[in-house]
Amino acid sequence: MNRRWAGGLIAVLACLAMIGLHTWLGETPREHTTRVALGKPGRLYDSTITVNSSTIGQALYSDNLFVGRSGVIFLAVNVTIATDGTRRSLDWTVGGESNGRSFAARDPITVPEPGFRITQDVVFEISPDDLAGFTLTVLDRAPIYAYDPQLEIDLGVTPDAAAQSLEKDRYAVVRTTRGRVEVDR
Amino acid sequence: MNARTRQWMVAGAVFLAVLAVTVGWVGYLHARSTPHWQQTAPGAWADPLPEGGMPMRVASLTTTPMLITDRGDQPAPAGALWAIAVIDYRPPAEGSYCALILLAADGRRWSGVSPLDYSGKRALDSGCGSPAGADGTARGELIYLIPEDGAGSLAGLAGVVSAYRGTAPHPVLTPAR
Amino acid sequence: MEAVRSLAGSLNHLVTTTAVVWWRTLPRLLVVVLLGWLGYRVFAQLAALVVDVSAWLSLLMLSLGFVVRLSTIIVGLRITGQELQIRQALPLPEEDPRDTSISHLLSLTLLPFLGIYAVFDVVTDAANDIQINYYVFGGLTFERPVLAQLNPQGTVGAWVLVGVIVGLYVVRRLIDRWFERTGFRPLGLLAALVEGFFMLIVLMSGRQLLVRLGNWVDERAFRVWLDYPSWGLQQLFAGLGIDISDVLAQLGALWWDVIWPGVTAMVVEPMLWLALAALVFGSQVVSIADLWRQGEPVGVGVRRGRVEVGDRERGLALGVQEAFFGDLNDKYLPTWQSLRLVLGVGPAFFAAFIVCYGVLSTGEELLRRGLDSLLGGHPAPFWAVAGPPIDLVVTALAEPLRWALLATAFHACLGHFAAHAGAEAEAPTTLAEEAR
Repeated sequence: MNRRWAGGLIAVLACLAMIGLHTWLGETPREHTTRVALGKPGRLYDSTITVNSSTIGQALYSDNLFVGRSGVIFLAVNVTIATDGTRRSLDWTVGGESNGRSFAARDPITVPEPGFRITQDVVFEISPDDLAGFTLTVLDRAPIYAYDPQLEIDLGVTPDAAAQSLEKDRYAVVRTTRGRVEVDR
Repeated sequence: MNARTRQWMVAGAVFLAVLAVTVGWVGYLHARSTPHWQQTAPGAWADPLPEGGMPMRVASLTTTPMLITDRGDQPAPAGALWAIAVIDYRPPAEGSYCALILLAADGRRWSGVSPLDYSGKRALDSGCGSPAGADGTARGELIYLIPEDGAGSLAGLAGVVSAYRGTAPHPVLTPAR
Repeated sequence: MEAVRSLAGSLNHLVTTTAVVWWRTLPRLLVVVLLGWLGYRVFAQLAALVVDVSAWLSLLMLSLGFVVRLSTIIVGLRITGQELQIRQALPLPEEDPRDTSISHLLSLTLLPFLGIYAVFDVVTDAANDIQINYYVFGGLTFERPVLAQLNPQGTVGAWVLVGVIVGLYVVRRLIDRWFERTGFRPLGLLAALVEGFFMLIVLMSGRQLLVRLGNWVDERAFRVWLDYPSWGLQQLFAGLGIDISDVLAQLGALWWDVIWPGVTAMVVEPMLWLALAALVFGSQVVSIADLWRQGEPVGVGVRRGRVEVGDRERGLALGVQEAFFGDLNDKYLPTWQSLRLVLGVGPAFFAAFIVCYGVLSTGEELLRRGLDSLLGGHPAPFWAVAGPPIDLVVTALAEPLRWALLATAFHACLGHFAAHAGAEAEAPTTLAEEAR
């Protein structure tokens, strides 16, 4: 009687161990993610992106035109994209991740032609709790895809810095720009 | 040579054969999906689209730091130039359009600037939308913004259809000079 | 702890014997796996190329690819089985058709094989791959038609599908008849190919049918009745302050996203493959003890064409029953019996086999991901070029190991039963002696 119970227990434990292994393995990844430090350029094929700074606020102005007021907060990330290769990619998707949630940018990003760079703001509308640990993700994915490169840039906002920033700028005005193309030297 | 060695040799031969077939097939797939270019004679007529568009030629390709429109001159950003290509084309009866890229010798390619990006109108129509004139051809222009260092190595205009699969070379329309 | 020692013993035996068998048969297995890989790829690519011509032709190519894959597995299992001398250990009659005819084996194992693949979504993945290969080969434009023909919408499409399925079934039966009459070998193979096509269509359309049935039920008025119990539960628990629907949703998510996929991939799949191996090696058993009784297996069902009864009507009736239920005897029952055989060995062996198979499949997946990660992220045309060589390397490494493991596990099953039957054989005799 004891033997049978012990045998059954071993079998169940083995099954649970293998189920755990399967869960750890997870789904096949569809992106190859590279972490990039704040301020350093990250490369996706023929273009590089560098995150310069970020600001938060409640009222959004884009190129000095009033866009809207948020019920939560706007986060504007200033980035410089330069293309030093042979062609521009039209398949970039810029998003954000924080606290396990993912966010989409309000407007699509502009990737410049070869030889040019552009400094622009990517705007997200997020809840104040999601400011700490916000990570910008840039993915180059065509309509038919298999395994694409993705860049992850942590904005480096610690919880303390987030709290301070919210205290100061929660109801501030965010001035963003769509950027102008200039030659990349 | 014993049986085991023979088996290994057979396995090795089969592996090489399968590898050769695989590499050959994927190489063919690669050749089909990567365009390669072939320059036409200067100013010659050619059809830039591999699946059939309309005959076109590049009458001239000039670079200038100033874009002249009826609303005044618009300068290119510092370190950049406007490249203006004047094209002749034979439009079919049902109308036409063209979206050509400007190709440099090192492989860099630029897409055209849309008329919405500069204010004012120019002398020639942008693109290939005009109906045919008396001799069956029409003239239009395409404008590109290029960095200065690309000005010396421009090859010509080409048509890129991202969905095209084939091993035939894409013609690059060389400007007449 | 005896159970742990038993597990460790089983694990040790499985791992070392698998390694030995794998090494000894490796060159032959490599030849088989390489040729089978190429054959499947050729048919899968052909399936993508002929989609413009006809979606049915494309499905036919896909089914041919699966038949090639199954043949590869059968040949590989037989090679490893020969190395372990499994055939000698089985009390099958000397002239079992399984020994001489691959096509007989094919027809026997095609249903469970495709069934396994259907359960684990390999079939739908292969159908999706057709679409992807089609666009990779031909370029993605809006002018190219989407593969709507493979999912018939509307009643006309559904009737065409039913017609094709019935037609294929009849054709296969006719070929079977012809094969029995003449014994012409290639006919057996043709029957297997037709059956593969038939199975594939049934499985793919069966899925569609279930989806449509679900949609139909959702639109009926009586569907609302099915929600009453959950409302009742919610009211009941609301009184206690617990949001039962949230709890149930979380439990449901845990079950469907974590536990159930884990169970199917790590427990059900290895057992099904082992049962399939048992079918390949030959184990038409009704019960475990019967396997060893008198050294003769107890056959299941009536052999075709040998019904001899008195009046003609009864003969006709039995003939009709045979025509439609002959499959039951030939395929479904043996699969079930093999499963019972395999499950009946004992928990330690079961645990050891599950662990070995799980480690092997995890290792294969990690290798694949590692190679992909080494190359980095690239657009789809790159992967159309780099994907096949990577798949070739991973398959050449993992498949022979899997076959060796399955053969070793089945051999261990047989060994276990031999030991058991030996012990049982002694017990009745001693009892009989005591009774005397």
